[in-house]
Amino acid sequence: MKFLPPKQLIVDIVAAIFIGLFTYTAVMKWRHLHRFIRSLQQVPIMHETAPVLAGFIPAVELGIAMLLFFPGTRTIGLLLATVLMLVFTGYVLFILTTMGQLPCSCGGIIEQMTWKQHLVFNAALVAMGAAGWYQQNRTKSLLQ
Amino acid sequence: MDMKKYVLGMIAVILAISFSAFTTAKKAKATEGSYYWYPVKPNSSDIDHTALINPTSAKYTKSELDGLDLIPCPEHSGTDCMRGFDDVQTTDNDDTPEDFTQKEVQ
Repeated sequence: MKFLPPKQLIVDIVAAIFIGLFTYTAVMKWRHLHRFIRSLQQVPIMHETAPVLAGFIPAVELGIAMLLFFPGTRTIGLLLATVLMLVFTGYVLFILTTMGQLPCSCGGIIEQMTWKQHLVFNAALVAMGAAGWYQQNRTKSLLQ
Repeated sequence: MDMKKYVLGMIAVILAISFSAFTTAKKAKATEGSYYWYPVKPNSSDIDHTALINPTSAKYTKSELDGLDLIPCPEHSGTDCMRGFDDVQTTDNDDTPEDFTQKEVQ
């Protein structure tokens, strides 16, 4: 049996974590769509666009999960996953600094985190995604 | 196609869908502070109905209500504490005696 090189295995694990996370949160958001729309509507700047965003965000998450699933598109998938997590982290920061009382609309068990825990969780995922993307890029350039 | 490349991804998808199937939405718990309490006597006409609409104009204070021996206010409540119902209260409780209304009339 041929083993994957450790660094490549790490990239694959990072990709798998993002696949699992995005699939889970997208399914949970769509399962409780009305609740998700209501929680987005509580943020003044998103009040009007909440129904569109409620469909769009899980679609983006699933799209990125699909990109991560296939080895050929994993590099772009890791980049987009990191960017998306950066956007989510920005949103968490915005909520923390403006209206910390709002419930999180993140989907599933992740909603049970406090905003501060969420910020740390997101920051860790951003770092993990960036490291995974960097490693994937390096491996690719070494193979070329 | 080398299926080994997809194993981790497939495991992740299966786990995600399985977890989502067993996760239920957390219902917002109503805390004591979510409500105003309105103690009133049933069928009495001495209810200040404006208090039911505007809690800040509640008729009784907490200490007054404690003295009235009605349903007690929660400890945390401030000066506005009344309990009221606009409609007749019904119950699904089978243990409720059938002649409950008659007893009240007698």
